[in-house]
Amino acid sequence: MDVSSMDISASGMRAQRLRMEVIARNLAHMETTSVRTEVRETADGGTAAVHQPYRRQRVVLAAGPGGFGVAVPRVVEDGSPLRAEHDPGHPHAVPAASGREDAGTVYYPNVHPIEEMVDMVAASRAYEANLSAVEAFKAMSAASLRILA
Amino acid sequence: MTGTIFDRDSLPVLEALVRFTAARHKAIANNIANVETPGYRAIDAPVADFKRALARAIQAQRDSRIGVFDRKALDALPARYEAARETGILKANGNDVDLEIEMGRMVQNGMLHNLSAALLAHQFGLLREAIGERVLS
Repeated sequence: MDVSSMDISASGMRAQRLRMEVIARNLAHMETTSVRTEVRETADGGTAAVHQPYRRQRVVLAAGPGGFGVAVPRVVEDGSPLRAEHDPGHPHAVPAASGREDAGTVYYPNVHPIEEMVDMVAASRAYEANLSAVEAFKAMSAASLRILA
Repeated sequence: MTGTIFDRDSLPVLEALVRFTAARHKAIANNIANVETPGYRAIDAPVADFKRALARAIQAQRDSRIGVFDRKALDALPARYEAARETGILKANGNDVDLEIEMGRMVQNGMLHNLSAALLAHQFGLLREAIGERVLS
């Protein structure tokens, strides 16, 4: 159970940096319309590839063992609806051959840049707060060490 | 109970303060690390209990003719943490950490720690001077 203040702050900083990485990934994939394809059989015996767009990822935070620090965060997919646009000329549009009702629709990721920006500021501030806790701990340790001098 | 030279005057009191503030920093660092953790409630070291125990121990030290401080009364305290008395509003995600309160608490606690450590160092310096049979310049 004995974790030091430094470990606690470090776990907080790690969690915030992971959040930052996930935000960067979300922003980079804002317009990625195909991360994998699902090949389906069509009615006439052929195949049609349906493209799956990138889905927004989010970090889930939880308190660490014994309530100290932040546990190693989990990254999960955001299940909110995708942005749909009708654009049959797009190479990643749902093909007409698939026989789906939404043929000709391109699905874009459920990433909202403003949300990501707000999250980014929050993560950055929380990181800095942990950093100042580390600084304070360092100053305190230095003061304790000066007892020896 | 007799006690050594280190159990007299302000030395044991300062030592208790240094230890308690170090333990309290851990609670504050934990609150700051978990500032966005859903369901997390702010914790704190038992400040009121510590103050009460310290006041009692100091009074007992004054009342005793030999002026020895009883460390046992304080030893058990910093090992546990309790829910913080002063917290921010409870947010929708079940977290009540207020970063400003924690920062203020952290600075105050850090200053008390540094002050106690500096005074402790000074006390040891005085002892060293006494041992060296020199007069303070």
